Amino acid sequence: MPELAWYQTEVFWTLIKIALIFFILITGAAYYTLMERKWAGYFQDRYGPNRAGFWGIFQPLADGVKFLTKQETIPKNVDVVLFLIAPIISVTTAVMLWAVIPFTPEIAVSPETSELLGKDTFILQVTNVNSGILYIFAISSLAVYGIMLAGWSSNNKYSLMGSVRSTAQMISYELSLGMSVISVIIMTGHLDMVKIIEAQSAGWFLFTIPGFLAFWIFLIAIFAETNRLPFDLAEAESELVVGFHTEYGAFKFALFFIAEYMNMITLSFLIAILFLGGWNVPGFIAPLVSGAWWGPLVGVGFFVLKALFFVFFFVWVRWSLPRFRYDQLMNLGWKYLLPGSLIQIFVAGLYAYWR
Amino acid sequence: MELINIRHLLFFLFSFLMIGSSVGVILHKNPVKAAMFLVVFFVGLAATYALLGAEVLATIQILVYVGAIMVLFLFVIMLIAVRDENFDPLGNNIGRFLTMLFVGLTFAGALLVYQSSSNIQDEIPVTDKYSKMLDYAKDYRIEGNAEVLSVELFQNYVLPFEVASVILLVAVIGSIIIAKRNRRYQE
Amino acid sequence: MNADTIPINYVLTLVFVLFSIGIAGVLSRKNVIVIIMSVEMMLNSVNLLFIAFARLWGNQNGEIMVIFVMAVAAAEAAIGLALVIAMHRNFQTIDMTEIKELS
Repeated sequence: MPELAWYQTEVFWTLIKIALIFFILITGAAYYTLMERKWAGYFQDRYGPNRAGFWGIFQPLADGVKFLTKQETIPKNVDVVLFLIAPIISVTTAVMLWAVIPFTPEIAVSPETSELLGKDTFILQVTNVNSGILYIFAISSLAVYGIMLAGWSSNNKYSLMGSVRSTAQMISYELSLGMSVISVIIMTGHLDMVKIIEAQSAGWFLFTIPGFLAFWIFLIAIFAETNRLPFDLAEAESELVVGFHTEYGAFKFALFFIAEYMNMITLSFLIAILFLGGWNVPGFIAPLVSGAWWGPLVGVGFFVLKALFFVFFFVWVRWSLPRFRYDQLMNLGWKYLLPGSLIQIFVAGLYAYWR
Repeated sequence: MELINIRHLLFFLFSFLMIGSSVGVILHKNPVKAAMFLVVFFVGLAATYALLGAEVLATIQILVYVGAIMVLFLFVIMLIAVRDENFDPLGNNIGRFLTMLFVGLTFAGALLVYQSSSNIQDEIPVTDKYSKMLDYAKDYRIEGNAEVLSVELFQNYVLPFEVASVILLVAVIGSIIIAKRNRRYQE
Repeated sequence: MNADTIPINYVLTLVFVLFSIGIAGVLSRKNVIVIIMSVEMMLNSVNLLFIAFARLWGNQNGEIMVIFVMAVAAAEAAIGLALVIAMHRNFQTIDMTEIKELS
């Protein structure tokens, strides 16, 4: 086997992809905060922030400087180790989810590029584990720890109550989240993210019967997973002081904030992968771009557009709907969504049997 | 690159993590910190499973143990058991000390007996894919751990699978009944 | 020692050590919840043993056993914690050494 140079090994290119995705993600989450405030303003018939630069472009930068230069406080009787680890866990699990999200299929590259890469296919995904979907669920169940430890370690009754409520809500809706994806897995037959998208080249899973039911359950569950209106009783400003991150100041609060927006972006991309076809282009465009070298980029463009619609949908729902009360929330999760997802697993099984 | 074997290095790293966090579980006074050490133990264990080639079991381990069982433990600890435990160091209670010494010596003895009598050349092939190890791999297009587990589980072990789901149902119902407050006798 | 293999003795030693640490935890702690956690540690060390031997012998029964051990351990942890809650309600303590009577 010929000896590979240092720039041809897989480790090097994986590190390049990790750095690229990390920078895009942080910039995306920061500008998502700006877009939320702008869209909130337009929904409420006012301008959002437009002082910091033209159209408020430098607002996230200003927010970042504010968070970094504020005084870091640690309250007196808290458990310091757990207090400081909680935002780290939130941000780490929010970023780790991006290790298996694919942007392009496995593209065969030209011989000159394959000399550079060391092998002859290229995939814009950090790593391709065989069980991509299971990895996503495992990491999103780790995200619960950030919230739980934050509420417990701040020596504050309101934080504890807010975090216990938020944790119970997240673990209840994780069940419906996982089970509604089972019908997608039944229809593809693989756990691999790339194969799920390839199986939708004949038609999105949204337009099949079990996929349609699963889509609505998944959509409601991702609002509950990110603690976002209409399910944000645990962190609403007027309800429980601020919830689990009451005692967190400057940069630690910024980490929680960024982690929440990153989770929203990740789940929007996930719903675009699972139900809306990922990087598959519409049928009339496919023959035009199949041969060219920029063909996969068109796929990436469509993928990002589909995900951006759901990113907008998150903000749209937040500023339009009232909030659920906590017992109504748990009622919905256990008594309506969970039997609903069981029924649509059954429907998916029948559908797969009769096709 | 001949001197460092990355897989052995990773295995030592993970086993160091596991042993360190398990000692932390049994020695720490605060039950919340002991539970967090157990979380680190489970994550190290999942990493070792992935190193040994069972990546689906590693993700299932994180999903089930870290994501659900430890959350349950932490809930119960936070709501009930917040006091620090004051247990005497081992030297004070001679019976406990002798019991643990005996257990430790039994295991060390069992390990020595195994080492001296077995074939020390046994090694785990870590990089062989399942499609090379199994003879039914070609019939079922097996590409990884997920396909192997599902073929075995749903063909040869369907009955234990159904029984396991009944066990889980009984556990759910049982734990709700045991933890419920009896309003008739208390109010 | 090949680059592609891990000797089984490493895994066996690790499993022995973890199991004995689990037993030490069960025998020396007073808090009931920490005792249940040590039992979970013992069950997980045995899971590692099953997976290592399944990979050694090319027989996937070990990995199936791991799935069932995980399911049963989850059920047992849930019931154990429900018992802890009931115990706390009746005795107002979760210290194992303080529960010496039958009522």
